[in-house]
Amino acid sequence: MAFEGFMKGNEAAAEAAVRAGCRCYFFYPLTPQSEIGEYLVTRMPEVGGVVLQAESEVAAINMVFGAAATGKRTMTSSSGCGISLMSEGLSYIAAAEVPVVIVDVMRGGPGLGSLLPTQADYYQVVKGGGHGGYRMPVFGSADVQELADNVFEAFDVAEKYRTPVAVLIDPITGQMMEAVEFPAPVPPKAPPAWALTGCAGRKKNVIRTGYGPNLPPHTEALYQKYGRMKDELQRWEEHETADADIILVGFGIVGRILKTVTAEARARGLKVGLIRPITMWPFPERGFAAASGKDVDFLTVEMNDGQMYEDVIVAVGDRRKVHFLRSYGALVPKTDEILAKIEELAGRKRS
Amino acid sequence: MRALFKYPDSLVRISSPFCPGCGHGIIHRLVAQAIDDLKIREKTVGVVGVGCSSQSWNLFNFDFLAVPHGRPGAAATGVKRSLPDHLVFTYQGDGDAYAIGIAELMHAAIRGENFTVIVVNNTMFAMTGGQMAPTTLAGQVTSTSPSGRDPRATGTPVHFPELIANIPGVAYSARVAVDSVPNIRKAGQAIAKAFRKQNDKAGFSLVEVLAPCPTGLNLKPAEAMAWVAEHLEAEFPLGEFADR
Repeated sequence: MAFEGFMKGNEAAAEAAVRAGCRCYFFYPLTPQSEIGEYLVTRMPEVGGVVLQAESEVAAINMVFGAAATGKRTMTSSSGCGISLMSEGLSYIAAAEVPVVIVDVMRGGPGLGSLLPTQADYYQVVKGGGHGGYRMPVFGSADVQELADNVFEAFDVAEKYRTPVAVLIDPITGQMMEAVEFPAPVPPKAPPAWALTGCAGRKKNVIRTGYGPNLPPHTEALYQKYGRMKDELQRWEEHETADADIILVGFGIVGRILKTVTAEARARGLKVGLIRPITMWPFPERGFAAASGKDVDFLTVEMNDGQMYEDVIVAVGDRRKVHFLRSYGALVPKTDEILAKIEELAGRKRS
Repeated sequence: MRALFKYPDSLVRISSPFCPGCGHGIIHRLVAQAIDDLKIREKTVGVVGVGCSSQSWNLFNFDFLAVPHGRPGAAATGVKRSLPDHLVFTYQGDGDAYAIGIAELMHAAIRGENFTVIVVNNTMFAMTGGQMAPTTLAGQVTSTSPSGRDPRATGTPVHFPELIANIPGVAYSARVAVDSVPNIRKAGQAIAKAFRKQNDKAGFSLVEVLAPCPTGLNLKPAEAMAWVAEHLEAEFPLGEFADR
């Protein structure tokens, strides 16, 4: 049965996980994502699932590794400094090809930083905070509905590719209440053949990441999988790009603000379009292919010092066409401020 | 005719990766025998971290998970919470268990997690070349304590089975050794007892096994065994510290 409700983003993420068949969740309290654990400590037992508050994020991610290795849909959630502590475990999970879902509600940094809205953890999650060059799909969300949809789907993607999948959430979206509709719950499936369930009637299963001199074929297999994910998972939302002179680029909550800006700019007679990446890895390079060959400028807006900006430059293939507007001190960029930058770029193009 | 001795089903028939005279082989045999005796091999999941102990995924004949250095206590928590009726144990060296992994083991004990921990204490980080561990004896020479461990600078050997003995969630905590036939028999009994506690859902169980590392000690195998009896057992008393 579909369920409609008015919920905080963090709670919607938790409910979506349960409905996706997640039956193991391990966490450590950390603002601004603690509501996920607070929701699931009562919700998970209702469906016979496992929920446990760990002694640290280091322990939480390894509890996740253990539970997911038994073939159950497993999730954790954290924020910047907690994700730093989880990064070692994430590297092992990626190497072991165990499906898990990580919800990251960003907070301001570096260091302890603050709880102000920010997108400073793009590098950390999209480029891999851990060692060894692993990749993992990363979904961004512009609103609470998309956040819930992303968490729900993340479990399927994780299982299909046997990989960790991250859902990157702006702190605003985590705290914001919106109407959200959930799909009917998915009952948990039988554990897959690779899972550690006891070796009754079969040879033993081993999940490991150390290969000594036999590493190269394993790395090659991982890289081939990353290639497949890059081909198959790119996703973005696009508005009014066909005749645009300037295309705005932003992820998460900024992408939502840029939709308003695009409409406002069009009302002023400016030919402005929008590309909002939904997957940050793989970066939706295909979304930039059509416009890259034309005389189009791109304006990337982020609540950081220009992290996705670099991916946009690579996607466009000409850094002279890619511009950047940052917001300092973890402040949400204002539409007026963005429009002023658009006017400036449009003026430069005309002259 | 009754079979008095057979190769355990819970061990794979491959040659040992361990150095001549290493204690791991004996301990693997004892763990495998205990699992065979409980007839629970097909419902067992082992967990290793990193160190010489991490090679045991290859030697044991049941499902196995290899996790980051020091994290078996957390990973086994995840496995056991997901599969509460399976036998779950970690197999760790003293560096993995008591240096980088002491927080995960301590909290597993505090929560009374219903799995078993086997810690092989050879007083050093053996795989990386014999560096000082939290269990290294005062005055013991290692590659990172070339003048002998100085307790004023680097502390005294950790006695983990005694440390956790008063925690209510700990069902069993013991220290055994594999330096003589009587001690090996007692070690096997302690491991079997720990597994039975887990089967009875009594709580956290831990068996520390004092074992020789001839390579790290730069001794011949027989000398390393004698060193365990003379020096290790003098520092680390054998016995049961919790049994509830």
